[in-house]
Amino acid sequence: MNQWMKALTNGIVRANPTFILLLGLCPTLAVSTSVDNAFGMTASVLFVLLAANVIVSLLRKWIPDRVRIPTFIVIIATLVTIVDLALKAFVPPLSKSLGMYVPLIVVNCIILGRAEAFASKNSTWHSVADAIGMSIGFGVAILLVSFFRQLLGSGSIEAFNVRLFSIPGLADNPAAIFLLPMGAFFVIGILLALFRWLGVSECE
Amino acid sequence: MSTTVIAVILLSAVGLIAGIAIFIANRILPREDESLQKANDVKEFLPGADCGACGYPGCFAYAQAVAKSVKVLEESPCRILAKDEEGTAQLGDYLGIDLSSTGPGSKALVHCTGDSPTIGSYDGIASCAAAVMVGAGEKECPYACVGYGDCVSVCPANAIVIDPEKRVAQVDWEKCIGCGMCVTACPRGLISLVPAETPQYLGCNYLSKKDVAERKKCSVGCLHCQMCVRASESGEVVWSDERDLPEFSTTPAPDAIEKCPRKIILKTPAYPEATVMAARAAEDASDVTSSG
Amino acid sequence: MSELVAIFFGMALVNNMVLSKFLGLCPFFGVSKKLSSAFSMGIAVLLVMLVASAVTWPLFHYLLVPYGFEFMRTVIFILVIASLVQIIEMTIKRTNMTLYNALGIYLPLITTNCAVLGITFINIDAQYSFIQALTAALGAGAGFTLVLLIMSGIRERLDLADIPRVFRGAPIAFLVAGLLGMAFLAFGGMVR
Repeated sequence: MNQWMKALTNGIVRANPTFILLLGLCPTLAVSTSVDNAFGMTASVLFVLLAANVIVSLLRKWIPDRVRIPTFIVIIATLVTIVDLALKAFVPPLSKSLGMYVPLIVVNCIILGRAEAFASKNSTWHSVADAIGMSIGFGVAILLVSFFRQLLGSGSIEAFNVRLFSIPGLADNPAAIFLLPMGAFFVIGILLALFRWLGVSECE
Repeated sequence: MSTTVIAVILLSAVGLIAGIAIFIANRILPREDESLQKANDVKEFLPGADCGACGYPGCFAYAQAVAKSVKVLEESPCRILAKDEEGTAQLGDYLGIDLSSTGPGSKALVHCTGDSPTIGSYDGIASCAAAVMVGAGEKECPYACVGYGDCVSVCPANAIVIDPEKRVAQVDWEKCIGCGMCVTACPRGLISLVPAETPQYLGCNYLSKKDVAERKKCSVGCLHCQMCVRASESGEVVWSDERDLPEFSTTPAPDAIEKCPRKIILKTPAYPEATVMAARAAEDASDVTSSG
Repeated sequence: MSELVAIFFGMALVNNMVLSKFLGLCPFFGVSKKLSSAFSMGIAVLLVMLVASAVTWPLFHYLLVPYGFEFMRTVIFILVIASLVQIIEMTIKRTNMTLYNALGIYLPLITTNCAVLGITFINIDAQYSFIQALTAALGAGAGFTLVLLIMSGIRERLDLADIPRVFRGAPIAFLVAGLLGMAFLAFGGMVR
């Protein structure tokens, strides 16, 4: 059980995919314009990562070494297509908002990286823990970035069509730059520096 | 046919065609240059530091040259490998030739004690090359080490550290591989490569004997008093007229080190403390017996 | 013709792959430390983008669309791109050693690069014709190379600057990328 918990918490703090491993930055920065998007993306990544880790670790003894990577890619691509179609069918607004970044989960380094580094070498049970841990870590990261971007960029936080809170002065004159792409770069740069300062991650 | 079946067939078909395309490409393209495969294997035995000391742009380029002709190993040896006996033996085994590591090689020395007082303040690009361009540097001595670490950043073995108080570079001989990149990186020419057995060196980079006025101002550098030459009985230290500085051989010169008034003849990690102390003890003992 | 020029500059500058669309960030922060490797990576990406667009566009329009299999595009495209990169790497390795030494080592990295898959999707979503798709790929690759070159130049200079300890490395690189993005906003009025 300890091992399992260790694999789980690994992905949240020690080896957080976004802030420490610096993997999968494309979707994190691209869709983090609102908290809704962040939840949607996290859910998609969770599904794909979990399913991919399980399938890869179940098949790990039968996949020949030379065609390892192409096999992983095909498995992940199939799962991503499933997610894409499901989103289009059940939550069209979210699908439209996430746009082409859902299919791009295929080439998200987190998923391929974990399949290669963990799932192909560990038991299914531990791979599940790793997948959940990494997804939570990714979710925390993308939520954090979206939180700041949405708050500063539009003055209020709205999740699932419910206005949670808004900052009075900022809501009238928000710093729209944070909703633009460069705002994402600024927010994540400062967050990374903050984590280093707090001692959570190592300085270079 | 149902969509599922067609989808599966389509995917398999594309995969198959892709596989066949790769197979055909493999057949119709010219054979891979054999030396490339060998180069890849040779590269496994190389340290992978890409320091350029061998004269080639990186370890892979060196591996390619070695794969084409084994003579490269003699003409431009890999300095890092030369110190690694096991690694050299493994490479020799793979190539089927007898390679022997060429011994301890050379080490880098920084000829500066860093004792010169700081008289100015520099606030520009944090690089030695930039700092020496704007004047005589922050220290009283215009030939001293500036301490911004151009040598540190260029060293492939991470063997150089800058002493934070004295602002002087120091080479760790255990890590130094003698590649000589720091020698060219230092804008003041403070670093030189010496044989690894060198026991002592001069901690002063005084470059020209023409600046007599400068010499009098310097509170820490070489006085040119030639005490070291006089103190070394067996001629271990000789005076170089052209540089106006003493020159040391690979013999330890304990008397010179003691007698230097500025105490700037420094011992290297290769200084044979034990041997010198034993020789001294033997000398004292023989003095006692001869006088007693 | 003017439309093609608009597409080229649009993809290269206004909607830059890295700064506006966030595609290709991994090599952007990984390879951009030295100017020479940045240039090689950029050209390699340009090449793969062109070839990938040239192959996936007809595949989509003549094979998937007529039979209603657009939903297969993710899987098919990625398979095709992976094989293409493999073939390109093989070709370069065996025909031109100098070129291989220059950019061959970056080719395997490009397989999982969002930028290449991204441009193939953009070509479809924007409903470009074949020539337009090729121009878009050329523009995207050129824009990527440009930004990579600028970034590596800045990073080489950053190495010498006195940056606070917590910002060294990735954080300051992100902030610089943000500033670069702001500068590229100026191109917004270029293409009407």
